[in-house]
Amino acid sequence: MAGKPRVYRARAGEVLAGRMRSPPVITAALVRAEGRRVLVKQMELVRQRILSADGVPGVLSAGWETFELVMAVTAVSADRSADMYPAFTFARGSAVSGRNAIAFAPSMPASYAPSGTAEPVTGDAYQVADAVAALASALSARLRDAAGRAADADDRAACENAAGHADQISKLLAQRG
Amino acid sequence: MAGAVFGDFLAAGREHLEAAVAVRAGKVTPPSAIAQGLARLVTVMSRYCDELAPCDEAEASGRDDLHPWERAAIDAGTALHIAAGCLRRAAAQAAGDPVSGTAPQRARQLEAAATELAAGRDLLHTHLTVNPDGLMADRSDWASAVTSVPVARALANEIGQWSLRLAPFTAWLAGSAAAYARPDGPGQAVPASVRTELATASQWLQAAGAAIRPALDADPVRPADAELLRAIPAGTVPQRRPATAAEPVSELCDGITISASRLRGSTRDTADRARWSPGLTSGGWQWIAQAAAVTSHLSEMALRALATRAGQLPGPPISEAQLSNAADFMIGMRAAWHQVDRLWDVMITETRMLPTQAMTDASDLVLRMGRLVWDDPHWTPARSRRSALRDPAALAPGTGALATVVAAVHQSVDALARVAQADMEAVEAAGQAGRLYVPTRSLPADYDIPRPFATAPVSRCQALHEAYRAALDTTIQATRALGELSIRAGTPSKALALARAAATAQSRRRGSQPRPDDGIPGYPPPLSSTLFTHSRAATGRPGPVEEAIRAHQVSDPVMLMRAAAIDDAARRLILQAENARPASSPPDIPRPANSAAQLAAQSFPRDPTARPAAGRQARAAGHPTSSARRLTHRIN
Repeated sequence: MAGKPRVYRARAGEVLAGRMRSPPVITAALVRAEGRRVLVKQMELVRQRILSADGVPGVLSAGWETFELVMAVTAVSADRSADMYPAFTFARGSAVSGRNAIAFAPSMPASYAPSGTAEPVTGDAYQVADAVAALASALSARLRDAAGRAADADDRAACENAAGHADQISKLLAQRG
Repeated sequence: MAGAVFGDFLAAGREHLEAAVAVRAGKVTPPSAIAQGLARLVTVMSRYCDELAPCDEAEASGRDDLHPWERAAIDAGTALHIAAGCLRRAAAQAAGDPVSGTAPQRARQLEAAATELAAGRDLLHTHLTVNPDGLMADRSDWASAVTSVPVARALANEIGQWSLRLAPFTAWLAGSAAAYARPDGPGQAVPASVRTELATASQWLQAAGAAIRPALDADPVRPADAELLRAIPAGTVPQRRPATAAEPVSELCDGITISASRLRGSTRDTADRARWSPGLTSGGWQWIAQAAAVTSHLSEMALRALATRAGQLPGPPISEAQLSNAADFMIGMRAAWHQVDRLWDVMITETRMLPTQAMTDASDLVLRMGRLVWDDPHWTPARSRRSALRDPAALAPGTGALATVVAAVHQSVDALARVAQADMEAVEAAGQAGRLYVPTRSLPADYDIPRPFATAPVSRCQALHEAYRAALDTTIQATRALGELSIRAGTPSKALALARAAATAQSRRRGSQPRPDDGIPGYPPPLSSTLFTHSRAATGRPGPVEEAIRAHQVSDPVMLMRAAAIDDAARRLILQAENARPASSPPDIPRPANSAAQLAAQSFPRDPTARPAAGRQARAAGHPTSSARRLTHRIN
């Protein structure tokens, strides 16, 4: 999904590091802090989009965007911690499956263009996992709600299926499964 | 995991053989039952040789491109066929002996040896099948080891050794039969010809053993050949053993071996199905790539723990540096599988992910590898189950346990190499069948497609293929590194490494290449309609070629054996030609001989009354192919 990023970019860390001209250790710490901030902002914005999505097509669009964000975040985070590698790898797989499930929904807007693609985020792997798990949990609830309201059987199936994948992400990354 | 291996049958057969041939001095034995058991055993041995031989003796006599072991298998097989014929006749002639009603212990041992050897042959056959074209095809990932030169070497040598063991015993049996059949002995009803047949069989058994010697001199059997032969397992997929909590390290390793074996089995023939089967999906392939990446990661961690442990243990079979080096291979392997995984992000099949057997087995593999590495018997990939690393001393308390864990890692990585190969071919087939799609918006702007997904461009399919190729290459490199460690440490997975190495040298066998049609148009019909009635294999009496060789005072058993085989092949050829002869051909008019073959044919004894008539009418109606003629003949 190589569209040009439009809204959310984690370039602030690099910009900040270049401007501050601080020693490497301090720079790294600032980059991590900035990365966390950007991540939290990204997650929060996407969560808001999920919650404010209107109708089945809106939830499907927000779901697509959420899964894409999860894919990007988990891909970058997998290598940060040996013990989290399996969880992030399989969570990314679930995000791809969830997004693909949504693609099969008849109500998914055909001309849908994502609002942005996440740039690599820095930050503590466990905090990233917490944030992604919470986001996936919110998405799951919204997708199940949309499934309950969908008139088309294929939409219902797509929402249910995608919700299952969101649950799986949450299960893999939450501190308490 | 303790499945049956070829060595089990070989060892049991050997035990029975040794018990049977242990000669008790002065003991007189009724020959009938023993000859029967011997005939059966020698027949089974001859079938092994038949399968190792690329052609028959008659064709081999005109070829100079045969490997010494191919020649040995042909010669030994011919000798064994003749010996079996002698033994069958001896058994039949001695059957009238009223005393031989109960089979003595010795006969039962021979029967048991034959049964074990036949079961071993059946085990080898589980790896091969015959395709619709009548050619031999692989049925398991061990097939290429079964048909390899090292296995052929070991097998032919084994049969040669058995022949040499049976030859003196058969000679002793001939002597015993003579004493038994004396006018004052218990077996007065046994004819003297029984002794002659047994004595002749003994000579042919000796010849079979002698036929192996030139090959042994030219290309000796390596210890690894025999080891590989004994380690060949049955070509069956083991029963799944789901992961349970609290499996100790040894059981985890057993489970990994089972999952790896099942995973290898599940990859067969996926390329054909990938063209059409909705069960094979992008989701499934991507999940397998993720599981492979995670398994690589866990394997690296296991090997690093083992490296640490090797540094602590006195005199480990493999050093810390060697294990660390193997662990380094896992990094490249993981990266390559990760790349495959990423490329699947933007490709999809027409159906969503459906669970497959390969996914179940890969899942078991991941779970058990994780439980080896992490100190939690309930470990899963979920974050909530993360725990501390297992203490290297608990992972491998001693050198034996260290070898067991190396074997488990070797098994899993080897299975992933198979998966990489199979998935690469399957995905390529799916792409060619137009089953791969990409999101339209991921394509350049000049693609005007009014649907969310479009057929994947060739460049994307090519990129995916190259990613799989890289995954295959890095996984094979890691497998080789682990194979070397396995051989060095003598781990239970050593046979895998030997099999992979052996598979590169394939033996030529009958059925592995198209057989020439015996009804080639334009070939002149046989000049003589003579039935070749005398050959060693048919009557036990020498045929004309063998007689001619003997007339030259030649006593070399191998040369005599070849002559006997040529006699027999000529007899069969002439019989076949008789069946195919057109009804309109003038009967038995001698024609001037203008070649050596024609001269030979004219010298054969004639027996027009024995000529089968079937087949002539079928041919008179038209000119069907030889295969059609054979079929008509069978139907009639």
